[in-house]
Amino acid sequence: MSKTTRREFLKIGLAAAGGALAASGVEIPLFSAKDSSMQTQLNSANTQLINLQNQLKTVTGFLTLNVKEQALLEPIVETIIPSDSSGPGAKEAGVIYFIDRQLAGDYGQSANMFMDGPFAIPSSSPIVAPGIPTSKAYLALYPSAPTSMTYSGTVVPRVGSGINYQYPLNLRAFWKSGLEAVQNYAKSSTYGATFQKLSADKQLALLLDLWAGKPASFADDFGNIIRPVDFAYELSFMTWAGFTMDPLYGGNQNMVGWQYMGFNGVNLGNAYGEGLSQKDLMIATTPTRLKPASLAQYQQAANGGA
Amino acid sequence: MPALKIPRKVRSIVAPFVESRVPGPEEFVVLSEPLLNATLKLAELLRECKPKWAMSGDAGELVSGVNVSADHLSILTTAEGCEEISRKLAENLVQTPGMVERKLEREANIDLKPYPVQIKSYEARFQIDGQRLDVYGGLQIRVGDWEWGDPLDYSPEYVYVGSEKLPVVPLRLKTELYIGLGWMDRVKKINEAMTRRHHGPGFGG
Amino acid sequence: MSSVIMEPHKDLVCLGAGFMSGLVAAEVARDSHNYQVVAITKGPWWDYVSDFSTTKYDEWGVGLGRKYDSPLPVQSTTIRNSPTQFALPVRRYTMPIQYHALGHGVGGAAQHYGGTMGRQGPWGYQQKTLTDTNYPGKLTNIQSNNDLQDWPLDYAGYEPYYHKWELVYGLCGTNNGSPNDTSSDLNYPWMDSSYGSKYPMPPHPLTQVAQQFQSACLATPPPQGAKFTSYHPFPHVSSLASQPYTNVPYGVPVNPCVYDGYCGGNCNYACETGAKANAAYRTIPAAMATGNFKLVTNAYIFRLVWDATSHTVTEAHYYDAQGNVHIQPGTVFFNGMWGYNMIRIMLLSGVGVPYVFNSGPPQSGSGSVGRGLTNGYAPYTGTSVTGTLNLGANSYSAGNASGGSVDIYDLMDDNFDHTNLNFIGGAQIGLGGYAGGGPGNITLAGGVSPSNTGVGGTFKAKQKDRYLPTTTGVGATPFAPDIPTYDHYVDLDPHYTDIYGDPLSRLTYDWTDNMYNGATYLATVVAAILTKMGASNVKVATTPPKVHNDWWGHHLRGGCRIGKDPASSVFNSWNQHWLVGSPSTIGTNYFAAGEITNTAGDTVPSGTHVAGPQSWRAAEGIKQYLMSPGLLTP
Repeated sequence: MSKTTRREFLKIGLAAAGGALAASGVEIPLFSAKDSSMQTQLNSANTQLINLQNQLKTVTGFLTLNVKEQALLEPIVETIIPSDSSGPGAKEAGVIYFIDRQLAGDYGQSANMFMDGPFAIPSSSPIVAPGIPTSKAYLALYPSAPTSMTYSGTVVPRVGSGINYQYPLNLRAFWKSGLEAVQNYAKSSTYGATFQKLSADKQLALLLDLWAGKPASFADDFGNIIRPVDFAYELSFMTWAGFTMDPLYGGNQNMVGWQYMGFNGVNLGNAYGEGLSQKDLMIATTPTRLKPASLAQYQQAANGGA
Repeated sequence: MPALKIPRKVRSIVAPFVESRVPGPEEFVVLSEPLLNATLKLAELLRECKPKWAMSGDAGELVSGVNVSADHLSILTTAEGCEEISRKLAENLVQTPGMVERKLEREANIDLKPYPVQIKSYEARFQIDGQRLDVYGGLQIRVGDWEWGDPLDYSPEYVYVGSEKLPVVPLRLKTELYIGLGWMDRVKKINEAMTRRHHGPGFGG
Repeated sequence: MSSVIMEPHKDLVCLGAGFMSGLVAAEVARDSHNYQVVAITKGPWWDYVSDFSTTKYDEWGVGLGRKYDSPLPVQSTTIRNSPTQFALPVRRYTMPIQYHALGHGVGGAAQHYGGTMGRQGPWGYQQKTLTDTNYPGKLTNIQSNNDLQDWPLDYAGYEPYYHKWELVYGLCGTNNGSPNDTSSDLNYPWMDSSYGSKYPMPPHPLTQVAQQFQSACLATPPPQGAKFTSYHPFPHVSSLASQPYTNVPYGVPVNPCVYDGYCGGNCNYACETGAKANAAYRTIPAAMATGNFKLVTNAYIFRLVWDATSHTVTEAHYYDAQGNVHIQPGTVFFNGMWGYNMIRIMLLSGVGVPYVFNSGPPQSGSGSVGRGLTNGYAPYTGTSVTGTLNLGANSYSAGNASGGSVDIYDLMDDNFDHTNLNFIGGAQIGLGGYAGGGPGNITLAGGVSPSNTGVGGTFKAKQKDRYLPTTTGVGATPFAPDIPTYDHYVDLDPHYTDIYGDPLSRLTYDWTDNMYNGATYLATVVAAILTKMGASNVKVATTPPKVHNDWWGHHLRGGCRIGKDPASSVFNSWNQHWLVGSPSTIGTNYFAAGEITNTAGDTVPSGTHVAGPQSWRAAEGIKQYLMSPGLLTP
């Protein structure tokens, strides 16, 4: 056995251990991102992903929005976030696909919402609650509770508040009603045509009318009334979510929304080998634009590439 | 006056839940209270120690988050450091400093062949409140009948323990040593600790 | 067909597995008597590597869908502002109240909080006595229907426990971080340079904004009536580990923060390295390591059994995920459930005397369970004073939720003369937190309103390069503390139930004038500091617009308070439940701690830090009780 110094001992160890490492499946711990051997794999994952995304654009379709809803929602979201000289808008980001996917899934099913009755629309007007308490468990605890009560009204919450939505409808149904109501309002005497046929100025004005509570009547095809401002909130909220949420959810396609806003997604400073550290970025006084990275890219890299 | 809409249907109970497994007690890494107290005392006594020193061994890995258990403390330092520590911990001295050569219990595994491992250092032993402390100054390693390696050198990293700032031997050095010795199980444990410390490879600085 | 399962008897049964239960469980499990402890939580065990690391960077799923938090279909709560209103149930998570989501599973709500910490000073513990003594009649003038009480211990009584909390959870900060030695003129003992101990870890790196704020504070003369000669800025105290840490006395290793910026931002995120302190990664491992501790997950506690003859809780009943009923008997019970659930379980089970509001006039109330609800946070409204600094930032995700900034306590408590003012207390002012401490897209989308519709090209253009700002807005809304009143309380709702058929809790609460009055006055004072900072366009809103409360969660305080008087408080100074009985007050085997047991309106943002010392009191009290049952005396 030849004589070796410590350095060579380690080298031999490393080289010899290569086989042992491979056999044991143990990775060498990564102490800093710069050591990452994932970079090459990440680059290849990026390319694959871009190809996949381009494919996605040509096979995109709808899961729950019917043809009338599609035809109406498209110009709505494009009015909320127009494509213009400042950059891409709802169209390029595929916002309508985000909304469709959410309405088709848990969001539309109100799966994480409290959907038990009774239902009272928030208002300062008095409310009569007949036959209260309606919960048997409450009666068992308080048998001498009154059987009927008139309340002086409810909290009148801000439109974005968690107690604002009090409809006995899941969000999919709410959107169905809301879109019908928008179309009925468009066809009414104020505007006199379907939303998609109105001029851009009138489309914008109509959406702002909803926020201002202008429509004297706002009802779906079956006469069910909803408050215009509640649906206006949904439209703005879901459009901007569709522009800015991770592309995994169907919107912000090709991360155009993030690029427009200078957001980084999951690029924490080194997704493309920039070698920047969070610690520096967080105290910098001049901003550094990072090319955004998505959850899918991150997970692919974390799982060892494609 | 508006009345409440009261639905008639009774819901069936389907409460959502997330499956999870609660880890067993053996999966939790903690430094025992006696060792922790000894560590705190040590850190306090050695605050003014000028030569480089750092917590090493299993205890050093444990406080850095590696899932190993420790039953004693050890320090890696220089020969000079061993002297200085012996002065500062004179009351706790159990074995006076001197050159000691030892054979490790565990052998190296290189190219799938076992080799005996020897260490030599300027060594001293202490007892702090019943807890054993080994101090190794200028530690050198020899595998089989190869030459002795240079004394181990490092830049300490720091783990805060209570209000004390404790220097520890960097896990990077431990990894290199374990790879060299072919102790892949130890490499794996450090790797797991590093995974827990970072949010995933490749992203971020 | 569901069954009824009897669990083995335990010395201590902890309800919940969050901050409070985790600490109590660890302390009691580690006792030399080898007490057997169980903690029961309605959610799962979370492993931060496998559960959080690849899926947490998801604003939609985490921030809006709240995939790690309490599912609303199982349980919600109802809200109203006054006792004559019909209370509306919270039906959905939406952006403006993201961080009101109830916690779920091990670590509880602290899996997703911001990590802001900071001790409450001596004044906060004796608000009633000090106000009545120094400003007779003022309290009644400000809030005639107030139900304000002093804490059962003063600051000195909680002092040792604050220190223990800080070592166990690993807080970052500096003691006496202020360049000017402060001890002589501000009564905050831990800021004294002679104070023996310090925060375990150094603070997170300060931003330029914070440093400018710090310099400006030192250079700005104190306001009229100040009892201090100069301001005392110090780095914000945070429970997000800034260094690798091993906690004391439990020996649990902790990873440092990686500043990934998915931390705060209205959608407080779980932490994928365990740096964000919570029970799961600080205390429960210590409990587990003893071998005396069992954690039961996916278990929904729905009743406690109260035995009126022995004045004890004898059992906790819970549903498992399959709907079977489990009966858990115990010698001592500790309630660490967060928020209104602590109160709700007592009301459902007949433990304690429910609070009954009497509208009078004048207003009054009897009983204690549900009484004295306050809110530790500012009303959701515009800021009172604003300015602009010529400093840019990366406001996309980089940083964390409670680092980078500098605070002052000077405009708080009775640090300035309130003789001619229409409020008591004041506000902690802090500036310079990391601009990218939390992603802001859900905040943008969910923040649309009639005055900010989000519709059209003009709004869109404002979002271009939104996350690459070249200027920084600075400002404050210095709300003074909330004051508990007779008409703010928690009871059971008559109309709505949880998924198992039990009534939801009902919160009757609105913001109090003291909060607004403080903001109005202090805005001008803060303006002087902003101007000194070099901020341009410094503007003071004459009065912040008042809003009614429609929040429901995260910063609820009180409602089940500790106190000196058994008639109007639920727990004594040991956080032990007490009853008025013959021949004297009876101490039961039931303890609790949490922000809900805080006695008065919090004077600092972190009610958790103020509640924390109570968990030590409870743990000590429980150990004493296990040795010798009975009423624990101060």
